[in-house]
Amino acid sequence: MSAQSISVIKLSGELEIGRRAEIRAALHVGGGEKAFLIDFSEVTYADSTAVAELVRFHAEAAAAGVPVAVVIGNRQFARLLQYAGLGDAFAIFDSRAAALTFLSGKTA
Amino acid sequence: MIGKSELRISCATDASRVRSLRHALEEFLRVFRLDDEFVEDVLLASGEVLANAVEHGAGAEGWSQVELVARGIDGMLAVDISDSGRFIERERVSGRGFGLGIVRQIARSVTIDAREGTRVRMLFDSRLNQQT
Repeated sequence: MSAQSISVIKLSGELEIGRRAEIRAALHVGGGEKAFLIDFSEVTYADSTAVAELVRFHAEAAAAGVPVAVVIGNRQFARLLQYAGLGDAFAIFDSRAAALTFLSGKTA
Repeated sequence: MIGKSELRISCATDASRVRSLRHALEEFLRVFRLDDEFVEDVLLASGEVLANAVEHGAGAEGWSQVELVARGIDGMLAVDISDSGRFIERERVSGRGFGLGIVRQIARSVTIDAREGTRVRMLFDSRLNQQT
């Protein structure tokens, strides 16, 4: 799979309840996507609003048979997923390159 | 040490205010040079309770106010968040499912007083996390 066929969704800053509508709109399975790379590398804070939307999105993508890789560069976000009991629920990477390698392998 | 210092803020429950309250709490905590991870966890737990208040904190007459108080109690950090809504009902209808579980993992204790509105008291063991 080429990088061009991977849909990249990037969110940055603080992902909390005040941005729920924006997060929900961004994490959207439109149909026809081959793979998703969710780039949270520039997120500085996240709460359960982001977790809930990520869980919903991940389920929608799984139902459509589309692999998802998540890039997280913030230890607070990583710890949040652990607290939510979701530390192993997603394919999480600390760089885009690693996520792209994963997605290439999933769809080769 | 936090000592007798106290942060007390109240405002209308509005999603746009949650961030401001959290930032104010962060500025208060940073003064005491607490461990970064500890501060992040306190902010996360407090943010979850604040978000819950914003979502379901309005009283029967639509009155909507949230108050955050942070202070030291017996060497621990106490964060009280009060609003006019009913906690049990909001948990039932929330559907988000993660918030309170996250709070309980972070705080040493969580007490919910729902007799008049809702007051959530979180105690954090700041002594164990304080930088030397």
